[in-house]
Amino acid sequence: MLAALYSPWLRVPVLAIVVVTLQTVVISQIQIAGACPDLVVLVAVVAGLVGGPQRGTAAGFVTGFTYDLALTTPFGLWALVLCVAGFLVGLSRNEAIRDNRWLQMGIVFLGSAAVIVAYATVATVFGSEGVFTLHLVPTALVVAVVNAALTVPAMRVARFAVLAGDRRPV
Amino acid sequence: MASLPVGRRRLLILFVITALVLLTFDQRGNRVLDGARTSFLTVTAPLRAVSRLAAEPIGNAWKGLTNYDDLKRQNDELRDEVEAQDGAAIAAEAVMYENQQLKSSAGLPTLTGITRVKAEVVSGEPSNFDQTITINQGSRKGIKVGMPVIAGGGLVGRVEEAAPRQSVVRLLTDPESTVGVRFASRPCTAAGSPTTAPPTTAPTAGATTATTTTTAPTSTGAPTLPAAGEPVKGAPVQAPATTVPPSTTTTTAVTRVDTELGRVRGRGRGNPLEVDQVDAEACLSLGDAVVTAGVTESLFPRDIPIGRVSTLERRPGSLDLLVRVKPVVDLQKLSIVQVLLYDGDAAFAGK
Repeated sequence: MLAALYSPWLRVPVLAIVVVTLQTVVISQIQIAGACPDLVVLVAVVAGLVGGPQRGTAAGFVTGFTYDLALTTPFGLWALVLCVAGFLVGLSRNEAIRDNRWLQMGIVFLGSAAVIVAYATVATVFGSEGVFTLHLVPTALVVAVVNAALTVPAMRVARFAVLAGDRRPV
Repeated sequence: MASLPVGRRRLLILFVITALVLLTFDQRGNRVLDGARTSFLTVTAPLRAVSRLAAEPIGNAWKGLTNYDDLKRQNDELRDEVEAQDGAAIAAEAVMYENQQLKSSAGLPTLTGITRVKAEVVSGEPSNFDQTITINQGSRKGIKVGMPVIAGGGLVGRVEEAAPRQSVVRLLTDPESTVGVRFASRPCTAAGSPTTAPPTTAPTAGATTATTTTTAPTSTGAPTLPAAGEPVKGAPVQAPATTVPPSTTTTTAVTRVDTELGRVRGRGRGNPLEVDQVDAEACLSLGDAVVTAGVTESLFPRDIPIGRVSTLERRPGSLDLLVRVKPVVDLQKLSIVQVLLYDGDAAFAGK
């Protein structure tokens, strides 16, 4: 039982529920240029950065699935986008990035912006209307800038959840 | 470039396929997924309440700091508007009452006869791509999916999910939201252009403001095409000899004609709504009121205000008019709403 507390299989879902709740209740009320920050995207991106492609995929899927439960958008869309995002960001993980905060922030910035654009694209492909508009530009920028600013604390939280019980150095 | 280990690829493929399966089921409508969402809403309700309580003071302080000037300006403007509309509101209430009486006697559903559940908005739009709000009343109060939601001056949206103690409401501004509407247009002259007398107020729920009370009710259930020999749309309608005696308060026998129908769609947060399927020859003007059409089997009862026409463009070569509507309700600042316990099918079946 105690060992389960150290398992990412427990910590990641709990983190996902907490972050999704905070996002939908608190963070979504903060409006900057008509868009709100998105911590759920941040969690998926830094999970890949911290845990690599395999853990990034799993964490992205779990986080996206939880986000889909809380929203009325097509079910499975966030799970699809975030699991691929976690995987792709995880591929960029290497020694150079591990020691360079600015590089980490840059990857989170680009990854977050790409996730927003990818979500709008995939949503449009699956029939959602009014998603792929000019408003996507400020939305992607707001999400990317805020996520980049929160990279350092987010990576600490991600290490706690995704690398739970793992004694390998990050 | 080295190829990816098989394990990584398999995991990614597994998750992608799972997500695609979920999407496919959701596109076709799946009660398990709907139930999962409702259950998630119920289970996380305490956590959401705690988060909201904890964040409310910070949010209020932030809004006070960033929006103070706007709030002050809006407050001043609203005071002026309220004063200007007091008189018009009194006249509108009298007309609305008469309208509801006439509909009742004709056996038509009326807004005054619909039970309402008052609810507080507990959380606003949850993400950049989801135009919904959560309210603190649910199926325990009789709320069901599809029921219309109003606030103050007009329509807000409809219930999308209904848990026992909470419900999710899809706002009018959501691109997935569509509502059948009609225009409370001014009567047209013989040349087809509207008359110059503008309406003095947006119609309150259930009202069809008119310059006279002489005619038979202009709303007679599902809109029908004019019979042979009757005036075409937009032209003044003559009062039949057998109806209520003409009013002594006006010298003109002109009745507002509500015949233009369309379908309004959301265009995202803060954007005006867009109306589809409006004939290019329609007799419309900027400022015309837009209300729910309430046709047979509609999810919405008739005559709920939606907004006013803010854009009219006649596009060359198109059969439709580009019409945009500014909602009468500020959907970004909702706090108290009412859910109409309205069943469209039952209403038109006379139950």
